[in-house]
Amino acid sequence: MHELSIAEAILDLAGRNVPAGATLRSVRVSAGPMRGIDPRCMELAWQGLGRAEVALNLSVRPWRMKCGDCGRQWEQAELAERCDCGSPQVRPIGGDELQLLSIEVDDAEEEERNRPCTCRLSKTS
Amino acid sequence: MYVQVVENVLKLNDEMAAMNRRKLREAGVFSLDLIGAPGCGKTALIEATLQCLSPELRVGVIVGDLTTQRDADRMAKFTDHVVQINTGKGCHLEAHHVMQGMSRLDIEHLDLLFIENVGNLICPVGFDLGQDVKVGMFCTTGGDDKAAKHPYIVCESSLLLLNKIDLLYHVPFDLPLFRQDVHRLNPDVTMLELSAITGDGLDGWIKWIDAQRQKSAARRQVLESTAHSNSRNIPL
Repeated sequence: MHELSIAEAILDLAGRNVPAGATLRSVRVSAGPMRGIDPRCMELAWQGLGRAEVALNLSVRPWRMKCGDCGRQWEQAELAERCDCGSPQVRPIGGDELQLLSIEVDDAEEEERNRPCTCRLSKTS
Repeated sequence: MYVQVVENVLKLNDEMAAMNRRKLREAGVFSLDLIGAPGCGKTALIEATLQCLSPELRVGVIVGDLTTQRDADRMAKFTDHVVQINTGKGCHLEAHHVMQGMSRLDIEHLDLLFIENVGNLICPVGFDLGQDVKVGMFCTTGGDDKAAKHPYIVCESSLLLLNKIDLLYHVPFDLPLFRQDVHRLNPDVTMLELSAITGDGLDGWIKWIDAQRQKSAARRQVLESTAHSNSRNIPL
């Protein structure tokens, strides 16, 4: 259940990137298949952090494979054990990335600037 | 409002691991992170290794388990430099655990440090601890499909060990298939087959550790002499 440590690390890193005065609303994370992150376990771990107001958008990348015989490279959801050419010499390339891509925040000042003028609306209505 | 970040999620762990690595290298300590499933024989291997290594070598061990001091007690029979880390709910060691363990060891007076990770073939692999090398461990009783099912440890390890080779003929284990899976996933990795209990193959493991220590020491000497010559070139 390394998902819990990773969930904590995501929230910590996201928190460090929230501009002053803003509120964290969601995080977007990309994980390579090597990391063995189960999205359902990750969702449970995320809920366990007690920050229901922050949404987790996790995308687990497909495996990127290379055939040692014919040189073909391709992507697929499951780890391949054989290439279409019949060779068993297939191995994964990379796949261990784990990145916080972006965060979504509510900026209180910006919201205030964009707030429609209710007094004018009330006059016209 | 979206804020672009694009940063490694485990950045904080990696920064702490880099601090551990710097401290270990400055002290001239060669360090190994031993990763394997529960019961594959990590503790037994360290016990056997401590008895085989040159008595002149000063060896430390940081051992991680969810709970109990049992592994530390076992290894304390062979070295005075043992620290048990209990992770509680944690299924792997992180760099801060090793930093904590190192603070309880006399690192300056060690030559070699074994870090025995919590028994787990998945979670520990992605967490840098500051070690020089990762060593992945499998065993014949665990089944011949474990390398194929755990590609991350196979791809990330500098060395793979297959333990309990003495039981090879008592359990269904297709050794050529296992070797083929390892080679397919990581054609560059070295694999040693051994038995921590009978001692079969241990000489190869001890030789590998010695060779890695020498390589690491040679690399450190080059870095030190480069740093020294660079510092002499700095105009006063």
